[in-house]
Amino acid sequence: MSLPETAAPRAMAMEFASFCRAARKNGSGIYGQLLRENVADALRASFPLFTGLIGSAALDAAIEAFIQRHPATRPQFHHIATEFLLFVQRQPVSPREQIALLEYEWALLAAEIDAASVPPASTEMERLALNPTTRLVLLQFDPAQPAAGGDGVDRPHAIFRNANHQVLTLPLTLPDCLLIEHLRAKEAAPLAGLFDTLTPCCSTVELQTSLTRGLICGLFCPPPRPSETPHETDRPC
Amino acid sequence: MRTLTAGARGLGLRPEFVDTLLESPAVKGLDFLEVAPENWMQIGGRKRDQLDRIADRYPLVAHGLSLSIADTEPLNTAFLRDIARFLDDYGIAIYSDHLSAARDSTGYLYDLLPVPRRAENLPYLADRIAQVQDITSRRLVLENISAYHLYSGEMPEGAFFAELVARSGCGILLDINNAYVNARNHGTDASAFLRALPSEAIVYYHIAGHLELADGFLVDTHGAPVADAVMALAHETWALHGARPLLLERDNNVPALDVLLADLGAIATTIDEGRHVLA
Repeated sequence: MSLPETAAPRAMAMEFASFCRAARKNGSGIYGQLLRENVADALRASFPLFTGLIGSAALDAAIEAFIQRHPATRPQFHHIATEFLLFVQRQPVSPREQIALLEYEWALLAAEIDAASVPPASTEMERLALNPTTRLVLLQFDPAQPAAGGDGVDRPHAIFRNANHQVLTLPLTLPDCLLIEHLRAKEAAPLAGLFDTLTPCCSTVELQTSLTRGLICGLFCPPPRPSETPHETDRPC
Repeated sequence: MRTLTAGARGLGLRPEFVDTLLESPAVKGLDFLEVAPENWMQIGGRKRDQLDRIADRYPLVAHGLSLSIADTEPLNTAFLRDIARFLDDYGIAIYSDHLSAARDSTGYLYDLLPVPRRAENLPYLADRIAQVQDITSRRLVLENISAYHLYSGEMPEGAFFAELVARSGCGILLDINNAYVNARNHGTDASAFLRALPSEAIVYYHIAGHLELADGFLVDTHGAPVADAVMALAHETWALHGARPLLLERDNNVPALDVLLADLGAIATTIDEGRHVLA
């Protein structure tokens, strides 16, 4: 049982608020500099493609606006990336391609640190599940060359972490999408008869090809055991 | 939970040398590791796997960054419960953070911000410490920060800490480099600060390097070897308060693990030799 909360002394609250207001507004004071450097370091580490694309002047301007205005609610330093993404998504003038790149890098990071445990594939499994770290995204650019820009066409991709802790980005075919939708709806499905409800849309060969590829790369896996860690990562995208 | 002896030596766990640490069962001269719970909790994948294996080999101490014990918003109890779960999961006995704030009424600011040290603020802080200790079921240990801003008419830092300990029962993580940096930057007396602290409340020590700017101002960077003047203050600390577990902080320009361990060993040996001379 927690003890009742007491309010801060009024003078303390006013003094501290005044100090923080100055640090948020003035980047030339030492605390103003430290706040901005901390955010810049975190963004460069989390979003190397985005920060490289927009250049240092635009990055500085974005950080300035973020520090002055954004109500960050997540205490963890690794969630500076999440908070910054939320901030950029809410800006009316953010270029769409920049947001797309930012969301892509965030999804990579989120899959990498997702709290879920990924069971290794097994030849003897009876039930099949979608990898619990999976993020489904629409990308207009080639993830092998994201900085080259896009062609305006949305293509579905899955971003996930496999049992060896590798983060993969997989372009999805129609059979992939059908299998994923089926597994998401059921959480885990028996392998026997898996294709029965899907064959009106795709051939068994196409579905089998998709299933084999998904099992090899880790997009599909056995369902997690009941005792394994629940999925707790934030999902701002 | 594993306890630390007064002569224990530790390092902050850094991604730069996790793989090296995991190459051998246990490294000689390294008795414990300090982790920032915010950087390790509620995550999976490679980092979780690494931490699990590290925790099998070394006692861990948790040193937080975002508790924000001294801000003026309601305590983030959901975050604290997550911290408590992390401490329990890894059998961590010592939970430290900073006597500072990381948040204002707008939101988190991701730094260690100084708050006004006034007698009238002590009951409020003691109440918050009690809440933290209640939720985590552990004594909260608070570190003296490097503060680059002074509020007018504040209490001396040592007296403020001593009174806070008396009211709340919290422990102290004494950062010797921060004590030196504050004394140099603000023209205060580091020895007086040390003398004001209650010995029995000091749980462990931090030592680190700092950066001296062109105008002589010191910044606590954890990015350089420990300065001679800080080592001298460490001797004085040991003479006043005795031996405690000692942790070398290095978060920037991180050298290879063997270099860090050699630094840590040399610091501990120098302090120990100085202790015998002073005795």
